[in-house]
Amino acid sequence: MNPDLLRGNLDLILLTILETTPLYGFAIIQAAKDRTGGYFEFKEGSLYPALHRLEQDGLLAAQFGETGRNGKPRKYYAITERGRQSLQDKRREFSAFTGAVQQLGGNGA
Amino acid sequence: MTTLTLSQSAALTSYLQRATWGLPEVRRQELWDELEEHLLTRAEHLQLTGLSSTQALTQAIRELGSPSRVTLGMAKVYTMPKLLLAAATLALSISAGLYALAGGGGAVFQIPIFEQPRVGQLCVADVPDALVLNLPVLSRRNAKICYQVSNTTNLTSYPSLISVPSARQVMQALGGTVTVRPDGKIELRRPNGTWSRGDFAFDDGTQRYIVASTLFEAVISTRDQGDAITLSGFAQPTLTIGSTVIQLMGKLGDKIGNTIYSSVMGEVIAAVMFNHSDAGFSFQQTSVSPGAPQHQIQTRLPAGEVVALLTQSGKNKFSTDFAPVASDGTVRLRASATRLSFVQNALNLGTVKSGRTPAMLVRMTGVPLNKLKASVFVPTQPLSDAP
Repeated sequence: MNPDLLRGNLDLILLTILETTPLYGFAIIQAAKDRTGGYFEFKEGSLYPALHRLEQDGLLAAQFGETGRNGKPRKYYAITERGRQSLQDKRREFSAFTGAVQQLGGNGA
Repeated sequence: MTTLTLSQSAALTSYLQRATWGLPEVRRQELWDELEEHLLTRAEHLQLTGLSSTQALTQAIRELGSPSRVTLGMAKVYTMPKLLLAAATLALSISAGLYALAGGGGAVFQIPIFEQPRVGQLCVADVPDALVLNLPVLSRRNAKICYQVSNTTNLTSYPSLISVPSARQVMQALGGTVTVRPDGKIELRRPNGTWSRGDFAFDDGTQRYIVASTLFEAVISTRDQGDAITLSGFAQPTLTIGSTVIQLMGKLGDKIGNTIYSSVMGEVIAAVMFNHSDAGFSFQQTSVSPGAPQHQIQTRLPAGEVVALLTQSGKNKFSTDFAPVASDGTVRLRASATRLSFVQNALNLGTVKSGRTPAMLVRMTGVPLNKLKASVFVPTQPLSDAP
């Protein structure tokens, strides 16, 4: 897929993946791949800054879980209430945008 | 828990160090653990596809991408002031030249240097002669005096300043720290635990500044980390340390160049005259006076390269000068003697022959400081008579 589309909608994608269950970084990448049949392939180096930004913005909250392969507790990201509200807003924006693009293209977009 | 071989562990640590450079300590550890866990998990998955453990870890690191990309991304979130962020992002996007200098993988920092008096308080401990001025004294505490600097203040020997946040950015990029001590001094701590403390401080009411040479000396001392330091440019010098590029930005041209190249003259002598592996060598270095005879030397070097001139006046006593090469390839350098004879070998310095003082020319730019011995050169005209 066009990486610009992924980058432009990264927050929407991450919040959606985390909407139902907290996950850690690597598991988020796996979930994105699995749930889209491999359509979403993150640039992994961009994932962590994005997760930390969403955490700083209060849309995600960190939770520490079981011990990982490095002997340290794994950092899970969970969506916050503010994150859920932001997700709804982003979904509406995205629907409006894709709807408008479809109208432009005679529903053929 | 995953067990790594020594070389795997070194590769992993090297990546994590670079990916987490510049972050506040708590955040750095958190990201370190997170990326480490990611890489080990991914490597384990890759091993299931038949890769060896080393191949798997290498592949996992490759997939995670350039550590500088992670660093910049995290800096946007936590540390980087907006101005620097814009500069660094711009550099990342368009400055292929700087990235080539950095070996393609490091972080690029553009650091503003202030060279004109700024309105605010100039606080000085151990007042240097050049700064004894008729400025209003604001406060005296212990040995430190704070003066008021105004728009009309004319400081001829005003030191080049760097803001504390900028200095911190640079030191953190190299794995060190910058802290303000309770006694008001600013401590620059290198990754190996050694430190320098700045006696100068300037406060313009919004942030504090240190004398730029304090930072340069701390940066240059990081060479014992094993990273080579290379300088380039004069009016806006660039330091390349390992994979980190620090470009110094100012408005007054040669002043920054003079400050930084003065800071490394000891390194030049150490590289040319001694081996860094020699323990305990010591020497005395002095800059030639501004009134000393000036030599105009024709070189084949491109404009902007910086050349040092060394003469020896006694056992382990050296006089130095440096200057950038002009557009016609000439460089004007001062020496204590009017008649010079340029030599290639350091052993030939010190002994005056036929009334000529032996002198050595060293190209200081584009070559790692610890390899400067290889950049000693003799010009086509090996003798020089100053007017």
